[in-house]
Amino acid sequence: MTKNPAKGDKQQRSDNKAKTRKPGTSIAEWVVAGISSIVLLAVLSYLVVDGVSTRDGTARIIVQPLAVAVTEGGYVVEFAAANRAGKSVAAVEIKGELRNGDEVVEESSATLDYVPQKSQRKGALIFSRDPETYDLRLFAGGYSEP
Amino acid sequence: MASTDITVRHAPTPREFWIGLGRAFAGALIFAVPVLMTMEAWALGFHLHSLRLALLLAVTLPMLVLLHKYGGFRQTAALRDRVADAFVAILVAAVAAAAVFFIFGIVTVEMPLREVIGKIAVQVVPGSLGASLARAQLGTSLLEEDIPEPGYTGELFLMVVGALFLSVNIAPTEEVVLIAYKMQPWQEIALVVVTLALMHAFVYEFEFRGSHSPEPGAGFVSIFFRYAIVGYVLVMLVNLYILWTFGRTDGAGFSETLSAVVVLSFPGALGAAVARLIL
Repeated sequence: MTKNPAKGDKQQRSDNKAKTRKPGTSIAEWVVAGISSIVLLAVLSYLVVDGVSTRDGTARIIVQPLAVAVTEGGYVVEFAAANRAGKSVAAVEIKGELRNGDEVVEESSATLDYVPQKSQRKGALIFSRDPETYDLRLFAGGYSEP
Repeated sequence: MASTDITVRHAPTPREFWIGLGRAFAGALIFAVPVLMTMEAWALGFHLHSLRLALLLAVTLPMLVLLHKYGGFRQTAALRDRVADAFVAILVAAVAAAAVFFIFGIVTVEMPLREVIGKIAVQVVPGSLGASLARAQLGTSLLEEDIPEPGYTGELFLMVVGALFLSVNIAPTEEVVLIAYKMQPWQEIALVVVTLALMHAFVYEFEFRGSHSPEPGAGFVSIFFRYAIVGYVLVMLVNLYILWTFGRTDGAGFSETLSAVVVLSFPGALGAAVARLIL
């Protein structure tokens, strides 16, 4: 059976092929379909396990300073806000305070659009005073549910 | 060229398969690009409930298998071939979405697995529909008699797919709920009436290419009730399911949910009405 018969003998080709070529799916397609079915099954199992085990509760947001950079605009304190719980939150307000003993010398805040479950998002707070000379405190002020 | 040979149902050569795969990628990108570039759809990826997302993916597969009866990226005869096609469409959609998200920087390597899977899974529904429709839209033109003529349930199924396709594009956006807030009750009633009228007119009165009277000789009342009304109710059910999947019904009261369903049914019904044109 030739693969590329001439265009003229269309009728004849149809009759021949109908008998000699089996209907079905090529090997290459079966391979791709096989990979896809494994991937889909894995994703579905993952989501079901995740869905069954996830406890919807309160988000646990821990904010940690990463680095301080001195710029013309002030002291930029980069932070990472990590959500340790299995619940995503939105509009997370990150607050920072520079304290001298009990007295709050300076405050700053930033808002993170989303902090997904078991993920971290980065941002920065800007102070006019040097955070190194004060007691720097970073915390999440609140969030909304997406 | 062998791929134009549609009078014989044969196993495609590897070359035909790769061409089909390329078309599927094109279809997946064209149909999924509005959702790929919607911010709310990215966020849905991680705050969507895992089980609802799993259900959405699980529903997509049999829908694609059924859809391949009426189109798809090659002529498929047996059920197992259609199952293979459906799996390929899903993989193509996932790969296309992953690639675009990676280039956009929406998905990064340090992102947790749950977030990556969620973001891509949301895109699989429009993407795999696009991959399946690629044959009908971009592929070689099929002779009319080669596509099985759908019966009444087939027509309704195509309406559901058309509704799902447009609704899934629009449902993630905040605008659906916002429009629902802004509308007065009389405006909602007007929207239902307009939607029904458009649905009926688009398919059975304006005679678009590919459209046809499902039952020649049947009267207006019969066609209107059995197609437009039933179709609209199905569209509403599809949209309720989509809104529930995307968490839009959580904590919302009955009238609020109904308003959102009516709003989303406008694009959904348009999709259902033109489904016979594109599918």
